[in-house]
Amino acid sequence: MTASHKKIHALVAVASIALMQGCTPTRPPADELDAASRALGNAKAADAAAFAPIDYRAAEQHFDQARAAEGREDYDESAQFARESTADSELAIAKARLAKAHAAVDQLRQDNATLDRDLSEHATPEAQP
Amino acid sequence: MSRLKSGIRPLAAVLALFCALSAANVSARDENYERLAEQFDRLAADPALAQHAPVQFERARAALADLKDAKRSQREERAYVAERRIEIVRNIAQAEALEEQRESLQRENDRLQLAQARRDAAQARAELERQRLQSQIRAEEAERARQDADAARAEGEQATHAAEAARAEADQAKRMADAQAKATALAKKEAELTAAVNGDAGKAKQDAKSKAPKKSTPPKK
Repeated sequence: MTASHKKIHALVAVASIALMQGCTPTRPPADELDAASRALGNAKAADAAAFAPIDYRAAEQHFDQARAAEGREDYDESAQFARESTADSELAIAKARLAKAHAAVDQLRQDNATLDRDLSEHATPEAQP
Repeated sequence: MSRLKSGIRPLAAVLALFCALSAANVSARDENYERLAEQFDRLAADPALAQHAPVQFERARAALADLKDAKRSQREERAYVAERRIEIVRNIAQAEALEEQRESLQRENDRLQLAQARRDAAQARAELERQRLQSQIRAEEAERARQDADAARAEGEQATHAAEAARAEADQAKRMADAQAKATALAKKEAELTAAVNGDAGKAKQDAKSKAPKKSTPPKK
């Protein structure tokens, strides 16, 4: 191996280390964790645990994993789980909203049918012969 | 030259392997991406849903773009997030469509409730009028009964007065008859006494007859 080869190898090694350092987060993913925590709180407030239990549970699990990864100082994985938890929470909120809209529409349809029937069966005194 | 060739061969093999692996990864990535992009396009083409959830559509589109540009280590997470973003679009768009429907049904519900309230008010008015008429009829019947009772009472009082008057008349006649009888008895006694004094009993009887007062009839009412 010549001297020039040695230099090249050293340069490649330094560049690789620098690249790896550049790719790996060096700080806890505070923004991602905050967003995940807020989304989970919103999901809880939207009764997602009742209306979308699977997605809500996934959001909780991913959030716990994000916290655990943060504890291990694996910030890249922590950010990844936090983003997944946020997506789970938002999906749970969306499903809860859809379920509530379904319930409200069904209830109104039923109420209107009852009212309509009542009005047809018991007409106003003026309308009676 | 031969040394150069022998050095290039392993390098070429590594490069070939790398290219093959890269191609396989790209293919897997594209397959995942294509599947999700197709789902997204179907949603975007749905006329019932495409007009809703514009923010969620935009975030799903961004998530798909992130997946497309993702490095190998990021692919799994980005596919997971993109898939949920697409599901969020579907759920929110359906929810918004239902919420519009709910507003329409709520307006219909308001209209029906108003009609029902008007009907109930009309029924209450009719019932009130019926009760008012019944009350009026009862009041008229009570007035007639009172008038009948007054008339009956007046008639009773009149009969009582008449009975009292008759009783008083009878008492008066009795008193007059008693007085007459007393006067007759006194006249008779006077005649007898006169006859005894004069010693002529026969004449005394005659005198007593002539002096006796005439019977009078009781006054008629």
